[in-house]
Amino acid sequence: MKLTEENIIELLKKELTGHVDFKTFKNDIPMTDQGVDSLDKLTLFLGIEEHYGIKIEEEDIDRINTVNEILAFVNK
Amino acid sequence: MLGIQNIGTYLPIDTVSNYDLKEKFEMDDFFIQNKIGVESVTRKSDDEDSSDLGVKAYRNLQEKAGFASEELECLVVVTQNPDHNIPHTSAMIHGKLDLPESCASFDVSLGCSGFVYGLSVITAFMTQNGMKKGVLITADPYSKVLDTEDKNTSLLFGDGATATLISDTPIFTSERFTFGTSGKGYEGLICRNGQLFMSGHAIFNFAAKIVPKDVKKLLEQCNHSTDSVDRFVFHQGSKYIVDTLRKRLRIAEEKVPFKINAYGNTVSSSIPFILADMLEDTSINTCLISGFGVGLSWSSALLKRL
Repeated sequence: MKLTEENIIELLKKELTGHVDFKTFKNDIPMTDQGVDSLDKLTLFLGIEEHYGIKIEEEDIDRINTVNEILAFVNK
Repeated sequence: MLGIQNIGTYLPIDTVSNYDLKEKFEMDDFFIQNKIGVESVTRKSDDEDSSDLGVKAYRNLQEKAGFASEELECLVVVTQNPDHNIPHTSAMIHGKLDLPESCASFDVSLGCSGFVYGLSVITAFMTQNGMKKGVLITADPYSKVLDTEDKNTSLLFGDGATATLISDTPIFTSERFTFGTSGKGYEGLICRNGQLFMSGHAIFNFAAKIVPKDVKKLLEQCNHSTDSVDRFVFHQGSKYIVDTLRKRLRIAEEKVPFKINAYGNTVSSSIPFILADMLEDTSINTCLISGFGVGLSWSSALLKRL
């Protein structure tokens, strides 16, 4: 299954409440610069694994910082 | 029937404020208060060791429960930071407290699941041997192995100890336990060459995936639901992990205490610290406790007020 930008944003909205402004959220800017901290990233990646069966390994976490990078990684 | 009669606690006076480390670790007040949930961590003094922390928790228990040490038949100590590799810390505590020679003493080597495991071990051991009074001590000061440059661990872990009186006049008895181990993940939280290392990713994924399943299994076995249990006391790893478990299990916020902001994650002591405050609250009749971490290991139990 190919993940879309909407899938990721939907997961972000579901898992993270309150601190991210999705009206101005940009897919090519690091999520950590837009209110998603390192712990939220773990929740997001766990959500991707549980919802879509795609596991992001620990060594890849630090280099995946934008929604576009997530899409490139999981859809490769 | 044996169970928890009282709980003594000890926290060192010295603390390190995480607000003083904001610049060093590039974090803000929101992260400290709402994500790790630890504003300061307790630190034992240089002349205190694990056994001393245990002795002080025991003294506090004696003040609360008013029993004589001569009555004690069993002492179990949960620690992975013993004073020495040999002998066992329970023997040292036994000596410092001048306990009777007839008192059985042994250690249990477990981390964050240790209190729940230890509760099962000491209750079963005492029941098997017809004992009526025993003490379960948790004392695992991680400051002995912390790297103060490591954001993952130095902001989280605090020193502390607890002593739980197990007797035949209990307030809480344990109805049922669950246990589990995922040994392939042992490197997720490990002490190498005297220094602690924690993979936040591995521990988070482990806890978020395993603990809710384990809690649901226990509730089912006991014919309970998240609605019918009064409190859920999770190991106080961080606010983020406790919040994650609460959300995943869809439990009301007021049923899930998180109280470590002033002292930090005290490993196997984190659950009894919370329970100590609940013993007198007679509105709490059922309480599910769940410890998880080092190993990777987990254990949950349902406690009932008698």
